[in-house]
Amino acid sequence: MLEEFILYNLDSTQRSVFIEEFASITDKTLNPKSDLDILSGGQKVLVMCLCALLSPASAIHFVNLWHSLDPTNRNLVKNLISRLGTGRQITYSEDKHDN
Amino acid sequence: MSSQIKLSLSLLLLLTILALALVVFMDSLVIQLAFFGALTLSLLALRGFKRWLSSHRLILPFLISLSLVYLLFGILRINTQDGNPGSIAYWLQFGLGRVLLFVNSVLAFQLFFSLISFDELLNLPLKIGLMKYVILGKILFSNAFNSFGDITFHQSLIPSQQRLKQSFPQRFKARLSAVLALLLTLSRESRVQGSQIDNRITACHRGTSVGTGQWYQNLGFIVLVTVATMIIPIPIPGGGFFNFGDVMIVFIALHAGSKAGALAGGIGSAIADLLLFPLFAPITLIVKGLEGLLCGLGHKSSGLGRFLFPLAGVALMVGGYFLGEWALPQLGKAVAIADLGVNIVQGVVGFVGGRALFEAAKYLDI
Amino acid sequence: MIIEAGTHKIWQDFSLQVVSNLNFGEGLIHLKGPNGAGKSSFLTQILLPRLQNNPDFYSLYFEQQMQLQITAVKAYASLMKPRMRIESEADAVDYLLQDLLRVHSAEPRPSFILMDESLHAERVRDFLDKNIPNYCLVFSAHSQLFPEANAIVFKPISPSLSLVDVVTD
Repeated sequence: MLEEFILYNLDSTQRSVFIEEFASITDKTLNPKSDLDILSGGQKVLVMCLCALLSPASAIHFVNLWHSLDPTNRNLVKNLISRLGTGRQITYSEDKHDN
Repeated sequence: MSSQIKLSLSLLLLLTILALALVVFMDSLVIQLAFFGALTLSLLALRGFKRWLSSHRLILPFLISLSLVYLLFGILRINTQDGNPGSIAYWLQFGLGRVLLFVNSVLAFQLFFSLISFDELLNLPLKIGLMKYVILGKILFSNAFNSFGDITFHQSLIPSQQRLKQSFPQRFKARLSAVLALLLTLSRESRVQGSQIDNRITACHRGTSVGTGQWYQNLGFIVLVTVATMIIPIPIPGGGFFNFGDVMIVFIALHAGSKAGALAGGIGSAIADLLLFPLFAPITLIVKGLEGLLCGLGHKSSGLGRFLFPLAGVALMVGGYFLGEWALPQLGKAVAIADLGVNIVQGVVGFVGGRALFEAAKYLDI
Repeated sequence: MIIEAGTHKIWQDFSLQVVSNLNFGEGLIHLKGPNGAGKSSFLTQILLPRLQNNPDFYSLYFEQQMQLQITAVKAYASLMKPRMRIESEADAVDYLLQDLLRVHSAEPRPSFILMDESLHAERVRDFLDKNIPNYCLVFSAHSQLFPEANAIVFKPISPSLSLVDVVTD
């Protein structure tokens, strides 16, 4: 987990927000020492989204985002993006082939 | 305790032990025994008996052959440092001191690694330009160790591998193909993960430039050499262990050139040594670095160059180790002799295997 | 090859209870059951260990996620004669089947082919019918791929136990 915090350049405030948001969605409390391998596929996508949304990046491009989430998680992520994604450019793309 | 303090204290402890055991009290049998006792007890407490025992399995053949060489010195009445012929008793006592010195160097590093985990490095206040190596390094090492098991599993299920009575060249080639598959996997991983890391850095750490993809390609090569050196340690009579490290160095040098060969050879092998045979690490860093450099001159040359430069490279490795070990007081001529046969085998295998991989690469996209 | 009735412990927290002896002879065998019922574990932890390193049989194993298997086969095919370039999953599957044919021609043995939700089941079955006498194809799939196959059903009883039994028509 710490590697992600470092790569996305999240300061201590943003890290706290991350942990809170993730816990409120999944009921799982992560900390910097947590091993991300124990998370399900959908939860890993959530981690990536949250990190990107809380980072200082001015533009975020999601590839195959909706394809990798089930309907429940899709709504959760849409909600996250609308709340935390303001003030930056957000784009999406999906590959046409399956598998 | 913060990571920085923990790391500094552990490093200080390691350096103190090394300075005392390897330099100041190098020739004192009593002090070496004392260190052996203290380090053994500490490691038993930290790691438990089973793990402590397994970490000695690899060095045992080498220690046995080293002891035999000292016995031979005594039988042949080789001259001591004062120029007088040494008796069996003298050489055995001297040998015991050196064997203990060797073991103590291994135990000291094992102790250090018991105290410090990879993750401590993540807590250091390093700039992202350096931290990215730690992050990608961790990913690639873990990927390599996990993948290799799966690779050997899948290859064992290839029908030709299920025939009994395979000749040695066939078994060697089969092992080689597992190493090649690991190379493919790690090349791809380092490219994918490395470019992703670069993307994050560019977007989230303004002002940090990422340069070309060379950094993650070279890191991938370094990890490959370390893993190839460590994953197949087959203890052979005569000491040390046979490994695919030199195969990887020859291949990387031919495939990617002298800089990659030198970095992967020197740093990759030295890391493996720190984890297994620390006393050799400084020599390894230089000798295998030079081996990679020399082999890499074959990268841009024609057919003959691609044969001669790797040959010269492995010859340099054998000669370099012999001279380096002879010259270093902590090792000396007994170690140089004990290791010579092993290194010759390593060199031959490295040359043959590395070139075989290079030929195979024409059928692959690396 | 018979898997005996009884409880087989697979993982620390998961076991399979085989109700009656399972007979794996010549023909097609379809492993049925929901996700997580233990079909993959049965293949890799019970059946495959008995086939690996067994001089009486040849065995092949195909997974759904073939990335690492493709890499393993790709590397092997580039070093061993006859050398071949492997680009896709289909290439890897073909290579393995051809290799089976090669060794089988030199030394015939009964062959087991295990497929875990593989996308190549039909292709493999066609090849086997044409080239390999005496084979046993064990496959797990959610659809009725080969209606003539005998079926073994995996039924989860609890998160740590599944029942395994033959389906009798």
